[in-house]
Amino acid sequence: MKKILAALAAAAALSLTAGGCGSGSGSSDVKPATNLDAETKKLVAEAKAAGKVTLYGMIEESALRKIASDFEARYGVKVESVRLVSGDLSQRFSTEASSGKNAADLIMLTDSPFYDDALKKGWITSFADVDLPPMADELPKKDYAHDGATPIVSFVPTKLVYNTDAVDRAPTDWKTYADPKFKGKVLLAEPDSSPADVAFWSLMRQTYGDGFLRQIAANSPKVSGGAVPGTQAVAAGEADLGFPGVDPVVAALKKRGAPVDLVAPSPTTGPEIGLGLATNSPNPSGARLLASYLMSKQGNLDLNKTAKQISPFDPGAMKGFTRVSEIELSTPAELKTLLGLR
Amino acid sequence: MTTTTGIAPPADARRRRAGRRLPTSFDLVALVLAGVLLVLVCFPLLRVLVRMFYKDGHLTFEAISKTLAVDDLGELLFDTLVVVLGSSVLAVLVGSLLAWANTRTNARLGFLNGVFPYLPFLLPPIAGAVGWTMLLSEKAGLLNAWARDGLGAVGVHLETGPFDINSWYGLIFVYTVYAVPYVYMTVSAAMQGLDGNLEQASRVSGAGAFKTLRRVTLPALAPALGAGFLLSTWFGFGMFSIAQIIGTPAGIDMIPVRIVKLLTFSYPPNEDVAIGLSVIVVLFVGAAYYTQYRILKKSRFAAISGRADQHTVTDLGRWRHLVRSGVLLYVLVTTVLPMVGLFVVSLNGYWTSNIQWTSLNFDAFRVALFEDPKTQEAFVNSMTLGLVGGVAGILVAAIVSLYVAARRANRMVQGMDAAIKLPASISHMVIAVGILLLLAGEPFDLGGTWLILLLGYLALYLPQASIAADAAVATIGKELGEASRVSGGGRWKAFRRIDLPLMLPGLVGGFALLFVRIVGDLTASAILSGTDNVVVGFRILEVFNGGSYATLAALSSALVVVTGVILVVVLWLSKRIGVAKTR
Repeated sequence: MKKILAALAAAAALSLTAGGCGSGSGSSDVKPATNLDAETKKLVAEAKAAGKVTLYGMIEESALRKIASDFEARYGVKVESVRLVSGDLSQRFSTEASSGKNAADLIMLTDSPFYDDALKKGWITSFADVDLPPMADELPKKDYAHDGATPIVSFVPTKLVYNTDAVDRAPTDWKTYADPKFKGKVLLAEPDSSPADVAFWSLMRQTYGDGFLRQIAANSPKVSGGAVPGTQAVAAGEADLGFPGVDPVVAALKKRGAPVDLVAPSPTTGPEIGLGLATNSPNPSGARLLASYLMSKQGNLDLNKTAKQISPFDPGAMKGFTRVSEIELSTPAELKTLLGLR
Repeated sequence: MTTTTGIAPPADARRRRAGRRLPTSFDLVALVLAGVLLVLVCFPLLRVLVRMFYKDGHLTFEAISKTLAVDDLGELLFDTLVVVLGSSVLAVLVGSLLAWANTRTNARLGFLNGVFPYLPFLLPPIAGAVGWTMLLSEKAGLLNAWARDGLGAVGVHLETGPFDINSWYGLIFVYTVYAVPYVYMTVSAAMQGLDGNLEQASRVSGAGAFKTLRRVTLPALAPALGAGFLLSTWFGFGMFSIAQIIGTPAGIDMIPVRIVKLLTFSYPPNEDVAIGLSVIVVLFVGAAYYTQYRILKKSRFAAISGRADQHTVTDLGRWRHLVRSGVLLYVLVTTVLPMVGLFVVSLNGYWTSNIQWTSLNFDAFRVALFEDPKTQEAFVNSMTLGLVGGVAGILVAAIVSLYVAARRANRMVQGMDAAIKLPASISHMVIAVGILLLLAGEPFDLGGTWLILLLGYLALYLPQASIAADAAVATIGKELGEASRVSGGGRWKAFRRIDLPLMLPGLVGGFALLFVRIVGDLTASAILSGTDNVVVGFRILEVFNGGSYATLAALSSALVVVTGVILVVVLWLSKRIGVAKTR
């Protein structure tokens, strides 16, 4: 038995050396915050004393890391993030919360009835019920959902992805999907792969009528294994046009020279990202400070610039974006039938 | 000291009490371990079953009625069964042939024998699915593009194809590749342990090779074949990523994909139907398990006798090289090819059929391994969890299997055994959520720890290891252990000196399987891993969702190398230890 243990120890040691040396997280050019008001100062001190802040976020991981390093540079409070898609994250958060102890301090998820349920069950605290430092008040009241309980800090426009080798001029219109030139060369994620996709196709139906979706069907679109594999496939040349394009994936691909790009024709819609303060969390002060930072004009613009999303502080970009609440939603089955996907 | 399973005389109670001997410490440990296992793996299943009939404080049949009302239920079941059963049958055929060629013929490849079965699993299924997509996508697949170039040279011009991974054959092929190791593992262990005297006796008594195969060899291998088939179907029913990435574009609807969709598409999750579908899967697997149980019960198979023996090696003559090439080709196509595909793509920087051979570079590796400071921590955590979980898991499985095997007649023990194994087939996400609910809060308070991941992995994969352990136990006879005990050795001594060394080939297989599955796990990791206990599976998910396939490929390539090296070292050591023990 000793021999086996020794062997295991050797193998474990081997695995330790496999990593080699590494560099630290993304550095920040943000300067430490000065001239803080008394309220913020107190919050910063409390947050620091409680250690790190844990953020559960659905936005892209390098953007989360950038936010963390900016925030740490500004306030000296460390942020660690867990990145998953909204569905997995809300599943995980709700399981942890119902076990009575939250691992997350702050959640950043696509807005959905999940927030109502979480408020009702006491998993998160309403923003209407907490005292936040003045910078949080910079976010206009109209950008709150669930009766003021949830601030919406970002809008994610749905985009069209295309292969730049196969398509010479950047499409300017969603109707490109119906262009007979692209027959057999369109790759769509199933409309029921996310609520945002359902909202998008409902918006298309509402704007251009059923005929547009039927024209796309006439182009015999292929189905992708999801937004991410679909985007990768368009970059690889498997199809000329894809839906939807995933921003961080395209950014990563372009950086390596892949012939792929995104456009966001108008009108568009997409996920709206809300914040939630976890109850019974390890660092509630840190959560409030981080939330306030993301609701301040500067912090919010930085967040959305890094994540390539639309900030509520950017009225120009918001013009082409239709809020999900303004869309009459069709059922996934209707949309699938219209698009010829069943 | 003897075990407690003497036939208790149905006489009066006093005599029975007096006659009952205390259980040995081995039995107690086995019972406690089985109990812990039972709670761990059954809690998620029980949660499903209770939730199926009991919701918001009252009895309901909603889950059943809603599931039966799913408009494409028939199609969903048909697709799932065709893929799972089709790939399992193929896996049994291919796995047995490979095991036979590698253990019973002179075409065997010594070095390959130890590592072969685990090779496909070095690539976590999500990376395997991406790898095959990059190779065999209709248009941009690398192999397809090269094949078209080749065909173009001889005057055949194709726009797409000739292959398409997003098809029935593509999906069944990838499932089969991942299922073969299960069959190979159980069958090759049984073949190594098979008493060659029986076959020889059959041949000497005038039976031909085919009759010997049918009457002696196959019945002797039945438990292993059954176990391999069972493991293959479990793998199939629980598999999400391959079904999603390859099946969905082909229009093939699989139950595991639907369950995850129901649980994550919108809030609140549609638990009713997800649970109904899980129960359907459990019923199918229950049927498969019952069949396996019948096979084991008939027990017409041979075991290693106490007499020293060597199994015969068939001389294939001039077929030897052909068989050997066949085995090598299989490994090349199913294992090396997707790894090479991933590696090439990671060097190219992105997936395309138009590889820039002159500007390949390691940048994707830098991004995958060094840009995120947590990656290396994740590697260390995963490898440690894999080693600890693998060793602890297979030892526990072996002890419980031995205990159960000695009490085949006891219905309660049988029931316990079945209960440990059944849950492995339900959607991994359902199991992971159950584990989190059970252990994250009071009184255990394990949320965000290393231990909750370990227990989660064991709940997911231990049932598979215990099937492997069963097959290993089934091949050792009772006489050796009994002999040891009669001559005064305790039960633990017999376990250490007799059972363990004899079961070693099978157990090492079970360990390796546990190790690679734990290291490559995504589901439990997505639910249970956090900032304080990050693992590789979690990193793979992050990279899959937000990076290029090149980064994913680089991360998987690194994982293949690290796990591969560890496995080879462990297998080599186990061989040395095994040889030393049996001498």
